[in-house]
Amino acid sequence: MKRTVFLLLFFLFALLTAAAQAGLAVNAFFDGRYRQRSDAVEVLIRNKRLDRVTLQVFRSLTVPGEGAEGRAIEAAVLADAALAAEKETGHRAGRLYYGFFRLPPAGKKGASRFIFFRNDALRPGSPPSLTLIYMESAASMEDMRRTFAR
Amino acid sequence: MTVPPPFNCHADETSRSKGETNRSKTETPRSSAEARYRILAQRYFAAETSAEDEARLARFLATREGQAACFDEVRAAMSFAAVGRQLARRDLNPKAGGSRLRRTRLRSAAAAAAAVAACGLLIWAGRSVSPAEIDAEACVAYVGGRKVTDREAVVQQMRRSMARVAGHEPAPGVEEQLGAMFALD
Repeated sequence: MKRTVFLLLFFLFALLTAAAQAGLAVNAFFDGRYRQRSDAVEVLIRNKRLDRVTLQVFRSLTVPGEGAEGRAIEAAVLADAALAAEKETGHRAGRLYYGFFRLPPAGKKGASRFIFFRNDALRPGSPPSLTLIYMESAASMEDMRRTFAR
Repeated sequence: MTVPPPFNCHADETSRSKGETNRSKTETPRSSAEARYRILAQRYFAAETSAEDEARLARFLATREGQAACFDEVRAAMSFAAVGRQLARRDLNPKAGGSRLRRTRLRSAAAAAAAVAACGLLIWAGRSVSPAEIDAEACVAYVGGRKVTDREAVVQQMRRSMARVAGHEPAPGVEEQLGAMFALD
């Protein structure tokens, strides 16, 4: 009996672990922790059309990019970047300076997910702000380019 | 035959039921049956009864007549012996006679399995929901700790954040600003 309960608990733990890893790491930073911060800006929008691209979900976060916080966000972006189907990145001093990533949809019929990242704290002379954007859109990366590229 | 000490009745014993006279154990038995079973009880204490005698005595003690006060000691002794036999049987064969314990264990295992299954279903359902969908607000910004719900102001903040990613400060012409998003440094 005790062994049966132990096995059931073990499987539950494994299930929880797997579920936690299935979500994006950057999602953790949109849990509301920055909403009361005087040095942060957080934006949440759903179903916004921008030219020919419809953004089903738009979430952005702008915080100081220095210190442990910037490193933590950068680490989360890099972790999710491993799942990217398309990516463009730039580095400074061995750190991620900017990155544009397109991730596969979360579900079968979901929209593509995009992560945009830029850490100006790595660029001397620039405001030391870090911007993280998470978007869900049916548009492809090419659509994004055609819509927004010069 | 002398009466064994455990079966000596006490004169000040009170009645059991309403209407019954206050009888001591030395009083004359009401019926011949009671008299027979009194003798049988005496033999029980003298360890002179067979298994059939004891079974017969036990059945009598369960009757109304057997509830008389004079049978209290033998009833207590036989009950104690019966419980002892049951415990002895369980010790010798733990699996036998433990049907209630088995049912309790099965119920516990079923409850644990149901809890795990329920948690699993919740987790599986939650995987398809992005954190953005959980948010009740559809158009909101938090600027310096202040909540902004004006749609135009929120959209403006959205454009500013996209311009920051592009490496530009906000300026007229959203498309030009957003185009810089894909420019490499």
